[in-house]
Amino acid sequence: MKEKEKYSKLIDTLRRSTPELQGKEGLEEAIMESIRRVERQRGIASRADRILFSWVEVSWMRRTLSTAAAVIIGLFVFQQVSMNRRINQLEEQVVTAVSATNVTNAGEPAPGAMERVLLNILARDRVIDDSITVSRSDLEELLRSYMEMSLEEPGQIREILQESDRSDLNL
Amino acid sequence: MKNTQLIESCRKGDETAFRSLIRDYSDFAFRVAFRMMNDEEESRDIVQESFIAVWQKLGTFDPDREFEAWFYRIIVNRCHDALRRRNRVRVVSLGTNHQDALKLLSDSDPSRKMDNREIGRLIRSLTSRLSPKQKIVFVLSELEGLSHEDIADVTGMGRDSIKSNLNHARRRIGALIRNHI
Repeated sequence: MKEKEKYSKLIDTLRRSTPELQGKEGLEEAIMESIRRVERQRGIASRADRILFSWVEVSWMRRTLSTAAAVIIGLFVFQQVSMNRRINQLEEQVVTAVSATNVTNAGEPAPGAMERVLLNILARDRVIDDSITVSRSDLEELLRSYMEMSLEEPGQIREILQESDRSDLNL
Repeated sequence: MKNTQLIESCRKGDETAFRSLIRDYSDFAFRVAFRMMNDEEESRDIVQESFIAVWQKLGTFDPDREFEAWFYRIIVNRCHDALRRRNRVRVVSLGTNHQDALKLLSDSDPSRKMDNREIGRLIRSLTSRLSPKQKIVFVLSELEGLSHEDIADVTGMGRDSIKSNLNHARRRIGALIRNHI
């Protein structure tokens, strides 16, 4: 038998032979049961939705909550601004206290802590008139020299500061 | 009850009408699913899932359309997904049995009908080398007798794609017949 004939015979037989469904009633019940189960699950989900979120459909409730949300956000922004202002004030006070300590107190400061405080204040991004930009390493070097000098020759620092005040006055 | 009236009642949630729809279309659904899947259990599952989908989607069904064509699409989509899942977890077979084909060709009684197991084994042996798309197009065209246009409507594939897949399927089955049967 040729290939085409074999193919045709096989296809014809398959076309004529219809698969038969056994246990139709059982299948019908299984389908209806599955549908009921799906509907029950959907019912539970929609009931949960209604219980949790039906209150958003009340108009005065929606308005109240929107207003409350706006107020809370406003309070948060206000709090952040106040905190930032306070932090800036404290930093300025620290600078003043540190400079006062350096000039009047010839005792031994803790170099590590002071260096860190001064570095943090000076390296912060602040817009100041007649400011200059220096690298972190140069600044560290400057501070280290200042600390050494203030420990070994405090008198020399006083002279430098007085000299600098005099040249500012001349300007 | 007429078909359109039946569908309309089902859309309104009438369970009795839906049971009637199941009785009218379950043979059709099983025939299509079995020819694709070649396994009774899997085919019954597909039929069940398809009817559940019909119940859930009847609201979106356009009553001007043919219900059978719409239902065809639901069944074929499920078969396609199942065939792809089956391909991913492919069991390496030691060799496809072509005994059924050989027996059939040598059978002198041309009107003999086969039972489900024989049909399943024969289709499986002929289509073992086909991709899911090729198998679907082959079954719809050669066994279900659908035109290319109907196949395009059911599968959503383009006409060229259908022709190409069908040609591939025929060539592969032809090679199988040439070499093994």
